[in-house]
Amino acid sequence: MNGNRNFANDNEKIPTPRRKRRMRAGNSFVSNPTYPVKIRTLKQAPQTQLAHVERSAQKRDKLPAQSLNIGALLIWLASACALFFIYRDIGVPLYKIGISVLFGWASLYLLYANKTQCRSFLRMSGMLGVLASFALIAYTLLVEFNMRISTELSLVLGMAITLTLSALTREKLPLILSTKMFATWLALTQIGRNNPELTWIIPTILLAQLLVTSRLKSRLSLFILVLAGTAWVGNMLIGLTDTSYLSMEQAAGILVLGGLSYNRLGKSLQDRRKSTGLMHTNIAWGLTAMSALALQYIWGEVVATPEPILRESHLFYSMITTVICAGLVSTIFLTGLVRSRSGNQSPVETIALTALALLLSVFLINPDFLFGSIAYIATSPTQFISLAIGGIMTAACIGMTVNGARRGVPVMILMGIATLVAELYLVVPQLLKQPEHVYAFGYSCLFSLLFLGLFAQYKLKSTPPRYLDYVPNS
Amino acid sequence: MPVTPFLLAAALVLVFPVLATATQYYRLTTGTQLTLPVQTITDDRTGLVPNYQLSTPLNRISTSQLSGENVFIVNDTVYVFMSPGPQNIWYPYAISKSLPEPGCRLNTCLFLKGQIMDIARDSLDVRYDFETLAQRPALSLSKELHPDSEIDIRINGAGNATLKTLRLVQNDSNQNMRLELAPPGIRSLGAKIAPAINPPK
Repeated sequence: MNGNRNFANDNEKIPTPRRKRRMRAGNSFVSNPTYPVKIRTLKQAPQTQLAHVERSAQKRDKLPAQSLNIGALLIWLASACALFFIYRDIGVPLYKIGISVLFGWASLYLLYANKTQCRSFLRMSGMLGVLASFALIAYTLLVEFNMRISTELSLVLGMAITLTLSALTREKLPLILSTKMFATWLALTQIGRNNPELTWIIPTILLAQLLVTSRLKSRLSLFILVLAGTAWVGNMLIGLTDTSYLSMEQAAGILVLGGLSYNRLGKSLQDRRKSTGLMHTNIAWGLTAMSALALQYIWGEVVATPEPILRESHLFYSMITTVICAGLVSTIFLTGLVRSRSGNQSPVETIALTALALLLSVFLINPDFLFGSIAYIATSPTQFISLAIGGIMTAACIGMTVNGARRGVPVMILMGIATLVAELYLVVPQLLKQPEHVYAFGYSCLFSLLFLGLFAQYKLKSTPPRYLDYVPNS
Repeated sequence: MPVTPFLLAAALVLVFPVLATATQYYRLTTGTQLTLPVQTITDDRTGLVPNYQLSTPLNRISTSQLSGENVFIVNDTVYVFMSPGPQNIWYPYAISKSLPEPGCRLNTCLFLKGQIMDIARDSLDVRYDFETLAQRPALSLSKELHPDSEIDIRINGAGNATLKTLRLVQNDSNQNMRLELAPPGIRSLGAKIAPAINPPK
């Protein structure tokens, strides 16, 4: 695997590959090492360090594994047998619940006994046992006691229980289950199946799940959460356009700005060598691309979107739009500033991106101001802006595809090509309408490609990482 | 690996059924108990588990016979008010989309919270919480019911009803069945029978 695919600094040296560590002997190995451990400094060359790590791993693999905790396994098996026979032969609900609780406890013990020894199969069996005991208890309550519970409430309960289990046992499986239930519950909310009074739960659960996810470093649950959260925000904005608090351009524009600032934050994470940085950057790029295409479509087709209705609360939403835009532009500027200082982004790129975001914000907050000025150079200001966005997006797609090919990330190549195809599908009919459209699109695309080339050149010439300055002392 | 989080997880495994059972105990021991005749039983497989749907006279409300509002749409939440008559028989007397400010006084008024599922002329199809009975492997209910088949329900102060007991008199066999849905330890109290608004055919 190419080691530098997760880093934004493309000129960076490939770091030393990390070996997967299996703590066979538990904590006793750390407290009583069987061979001398030396703390090595960075004065040694990376090759020397690598050889040392390999030797250490060879010695560690020869250590005898701690004996299997037979007691925990036997208790678990016995409780599983008792569970089977009581559910099959005895119909008393309280017995069923009681044996399910005992089975849950035995599973927890099995999980605990094998967690420190990294026996993944037994550990997984323990975790599945705990989840199964909850499912059996819920089934008994639903069927035997005829407890009525709605689907939405059962999902909320399930989310809370699995999230708590995950936080307590530090296991990823219940967390992934919890995030999947959250996505399902969110989908039910979006199609109007859920109680609107429970909407406040969404940010609360999202925040709690993000906290546990960041603690356990589960990439799958993070992916689900980011997608679900983004879909929720998008749907909320569309809901505001339905009630005419926001225009469609404003909703799409806010999503473009949000995606761009999220993309910059993802880049910063890559600079800090966070493993999820690339995923964040790609999701944000996809969000920005989709919103930009929507914005381009709205302005290009001159969709007669109703202006926001002037009502008492309109002023509030207009102010909120201004505050959101200001926050997002500030995020883009500040992340650019930080990345520029660390040498991962050129100052020109920071200024260019901030200016672009600022321009879009002005369009969203006060469209008359800029559309009035563009009317002097184009017969149709909205289509001019749409084609300019199309040019920028085309350049961005080419950049994404080339960058993906260079870094060896197929997802980036796919995203770039897919967005380029969608972009051409949108832009070609417009280009055939009027000759001035070709100029607007062409100039925009050309300048964007030029800037992209400049930015890429800066990255390739950026200062090499500091640890290359170390010279082997042997 | 610290033990405390695992002990807390073990406590969670215990607390979940205890709380759920306690909630069910509370629902079935508080409020007012009513007995209703069962008219029909149908299969319902749309929920988390397969269910039977019971039908009682309170599911078919005729707005021409009751006071209160008479303009409804499907999915409206409604409140059906009942008051006791002679021989401790409770009669529905009003239907409304909102609760009156003073509410119901103890032993003089009772209301059930329901949702309108269908409207046909002046007749409303109202569903409450108590009609659903989870199917279980050992339970096979005949669709042919004797008019004496009954259910006991408990109604709390917010108008939510919980099914407590099912007593079926089946036509196709002489075996009568009594199904207690409450956790053990709850005795059935004196029954009050609500009248059939539309008698079963």
